Amino acid sequence: MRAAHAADRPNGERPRRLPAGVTEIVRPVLAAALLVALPASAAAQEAGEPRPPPDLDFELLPAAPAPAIDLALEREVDRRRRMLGFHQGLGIATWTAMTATVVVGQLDFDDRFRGGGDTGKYHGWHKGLAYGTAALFTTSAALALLAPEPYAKGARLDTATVHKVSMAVAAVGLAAQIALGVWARSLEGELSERDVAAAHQVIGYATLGAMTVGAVVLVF
Amino acid sequence: MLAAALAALLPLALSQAPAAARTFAVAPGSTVSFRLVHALHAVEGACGAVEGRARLLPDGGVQVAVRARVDSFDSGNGNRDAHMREVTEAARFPFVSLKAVASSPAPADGPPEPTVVLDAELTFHGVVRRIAIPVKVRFDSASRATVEASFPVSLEAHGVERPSLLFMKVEDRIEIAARLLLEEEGG
Repeated sequence: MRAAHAADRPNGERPRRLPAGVTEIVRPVLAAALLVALPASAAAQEAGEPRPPPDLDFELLPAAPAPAIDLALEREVDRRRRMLGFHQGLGIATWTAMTATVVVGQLDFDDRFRGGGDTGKYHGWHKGLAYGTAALFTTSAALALLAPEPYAKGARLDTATVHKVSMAVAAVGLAAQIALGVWARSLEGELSERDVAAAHQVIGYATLGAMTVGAVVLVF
Repeated sequence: MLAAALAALLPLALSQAPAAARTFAVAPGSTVSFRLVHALHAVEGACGAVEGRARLLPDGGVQVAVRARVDSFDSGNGNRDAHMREVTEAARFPFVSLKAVASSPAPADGPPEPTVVLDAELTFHGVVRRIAIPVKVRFDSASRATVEASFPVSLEAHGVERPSLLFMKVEDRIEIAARLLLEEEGG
């Protein structure tokens, strides 16, 4: 240890010793300090030990009614949690599928009406994505609407209400999209086909917007 | 709720030890609130339906009892509140309650808003946990006081499944804040 200490000193000098008179004074002071510090240290250790429990054997409030164990309600809570868990997962999948549908739909529109050569290469993808989105949306909505409500919720304007209204708007938009898409295709070759397709395009963006609002509002 | 009870005890402790026990009741206008944190946002909820009493004993000790119905907390979102009732099993455990004592009340000539530490038991979701709650007391008059306290509570320590949104659970630690108005009964 001593060698190590000496090595730590940059110039290798040895530690200086205190004069004998000073040592005689310091030693008893150090001893006294130790005598004081040791019990204090023990007390500090005891402070970390568990305190005795407080005496709470008193009653200041009227007895609370006995809790009700309602197994039927608890089963409903469990079912609701599982259904809403699937609802969230399917909701994210629906939003993703709807975004893809809108993007591919725009490509399909450009291909047919904006000088894309009318190759029809996007149409199958758009149609498949659209029906897939509708199926996801319907399943997700059914899970939310059919989930039991074991704890009553009063009607109020809050983010959950905005979510529901937004999704109702999106549902109407989705239904209109399917109708307009089928109608536009039935008008193939006619002058009005582009107008109906344009309405289909605008409502598609609006539907995606409503669904985005309904999803984002939940984090507020 | 516990904080409220503690707060009630503090005013009693701060006043001079009476010859007989004095009881203070939690008055209307008192609130207990919580704040929980999710990765995407923080949520605050409050409850105004708090009941509680604090008793100042002749020996200077203080006893406190405070409770609130779990289903009375309102975060401003019906779905979220229903979710909270589900995870806290509000039907099976309808109350969150606190009982506490203060064994070393502050002297009457102490600071104007002394802080007293309550030795308390918090019962939440049927699980009892012992906690120490620092409570700040302000006397508005001889028979009225306002007590404020805040303290953390672990959801999992009380057996509560943490709620989740978009598959992300909220943080385990929630902050409870209480602001209780105390009025002496018969005062």
